Amino acid sequence: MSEIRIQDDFARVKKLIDKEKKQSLELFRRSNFHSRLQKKISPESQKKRYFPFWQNYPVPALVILSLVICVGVITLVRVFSPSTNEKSVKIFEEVLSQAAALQRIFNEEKVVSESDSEFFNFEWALKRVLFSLHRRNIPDEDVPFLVYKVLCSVDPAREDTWIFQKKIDPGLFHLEKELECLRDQDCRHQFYSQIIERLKEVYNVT
Amino acid sequence: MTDIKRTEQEKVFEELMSYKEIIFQICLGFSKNPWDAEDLTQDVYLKAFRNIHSLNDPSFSREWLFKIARNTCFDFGRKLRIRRIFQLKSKGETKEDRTPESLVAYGEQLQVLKKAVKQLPKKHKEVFVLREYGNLSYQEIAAVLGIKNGTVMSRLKRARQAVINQIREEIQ
Repeated sequence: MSEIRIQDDFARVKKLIDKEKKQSLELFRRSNFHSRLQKKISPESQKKRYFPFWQNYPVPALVILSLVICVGVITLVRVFSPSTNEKSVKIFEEVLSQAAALQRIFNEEKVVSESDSEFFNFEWALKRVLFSLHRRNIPDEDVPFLVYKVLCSVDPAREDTWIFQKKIDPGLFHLEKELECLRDQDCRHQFYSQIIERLKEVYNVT
Repeated sequence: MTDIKRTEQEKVFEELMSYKEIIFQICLGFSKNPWDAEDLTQDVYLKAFRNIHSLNDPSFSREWLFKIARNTCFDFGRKLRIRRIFQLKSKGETKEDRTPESLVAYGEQLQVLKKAVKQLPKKHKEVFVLREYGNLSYQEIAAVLGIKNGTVMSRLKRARQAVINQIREEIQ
């Protein structure tokens, strides 16, 4: 019973709503809705045509920008920071500059043989350099290669002897191994003779 | 934005303009008078124009526009309430100002109805306005509000009941 009464009452309410809608719609149709809206839209539509990506999607744009900056910074650091090899060459150069005897041998492009009277000096000079390198915590580098690089920096024309680098047997002359070798008499001799061989190659002596 | 996309968006906006009378009626349900409703309709279309790039699927443009209308009307109601808080004294008429004779008049009846709709809880009011003013189907209301058909029906029933009770209370 009360359901029916509610329906009746609501039918009257609905009539009232419909009447309100009808009258209001007439007013709306007579109003200048379109022209008012166009006035608001047209200045915005001009701007809207050139809406940049970063204004429409600020968060992805920010993420992309951060990534680009990070990549740029990493690239710059890599390009401008010296490589470990360059660092090693620098340290070696420094150590070599303090080892006068060895430097003299390099500069005079002398090839010292084991029978030579100067061999003793050469051996001690080289030993000092190697231990000095070890103390300086130089990365495990190929010493003859460092010798070669230093010689190239003294005389750039030696870059042509690049072939020398290719002849190096990897692992044969590495610092840690060399220092191990120096403790053993036989091994030490073998090591010196190999160094001398390499120097012969650098100086192009047959 | 490419020219093709822009043309597509213009087309969608033109299509949206064909719903302006429905939007106006929905706004009328949420507002006090047709002038406020027209202003609200302008706001709805302006928001739609500004955000049309975010409409991914044009086939849902109708529901999308109704959602904007609903949100705009609720924002408007919130602003009005804030304005009223800062008013020192309400100039609105009191119950005692009205006589049963004057209630017969259409304007008075409308005022009572508006008050009854305004006093509905938000979730009942939106269903009532979308159905009775916007003439939206139950499915459309469910899609706009993100609720089930059954929920729409039950909320509508409660809203109608509450409107009638409120009107009865006002008249007596």
